[in-house]
Amino acid sequence: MSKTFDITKEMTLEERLIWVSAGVLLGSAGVYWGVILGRARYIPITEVPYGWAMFWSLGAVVLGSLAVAVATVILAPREADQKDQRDREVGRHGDAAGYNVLALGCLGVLALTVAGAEPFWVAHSLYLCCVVAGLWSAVTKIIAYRRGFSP
Amino acid sequence: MKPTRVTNRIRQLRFAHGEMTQAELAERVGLTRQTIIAIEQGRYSPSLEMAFQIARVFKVPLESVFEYTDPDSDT
Repeated sequence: MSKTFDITKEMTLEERLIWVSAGVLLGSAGVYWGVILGRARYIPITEVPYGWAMFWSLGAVVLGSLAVAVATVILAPREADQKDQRDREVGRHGDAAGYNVLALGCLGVLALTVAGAEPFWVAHSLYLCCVVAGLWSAVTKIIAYRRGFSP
Repeated sequence: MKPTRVTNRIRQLRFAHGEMTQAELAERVGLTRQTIIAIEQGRYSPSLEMAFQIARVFKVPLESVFEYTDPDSDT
């Protein structure tokens, strides 16, 4: 397992972008939960204002990943153009794995909503689904790159 | 366990063709060097079209480059 996640190993640009996206996602979620739990020290957690923090957290992931992709094209245009067949297949494979997790999670969120859960828990379940699906997709892609992949 | 039963002789063929580097082969077939490494190590099966392109670089038939290991031959 340690070899699978050895970041010193030589990687394609696509694989490096996946590592960066996963890092941005984890960092953003970490900061978000830090802010929410920090606020929850003074008031009950379900009363914590979370709307803007969640918006900025998700926005940071989208903008962060976009910024890295744009910077790559500017700094290494030749490498940025080298996406090949394996990159596309690994990408599809990982995206499908992420969508499956997201779909399953959405069913759970739907169940929570039907059960009349508070908006705080519904919103955070959905947020968690997005984060877990993104990470699952990234890990699936990294494993496909490292351990092998047969489409 | 390898993710594919397709084995190949790309490494031997590269050396037989003037010690062609993985980067040279990658450039000629439009793949990244890392993908050539993954194919050589049996971590990735290229598409049929890509397999034909690789065989064409070495000017040999497809079955001289790739071979499918029969699952029944396992012991």
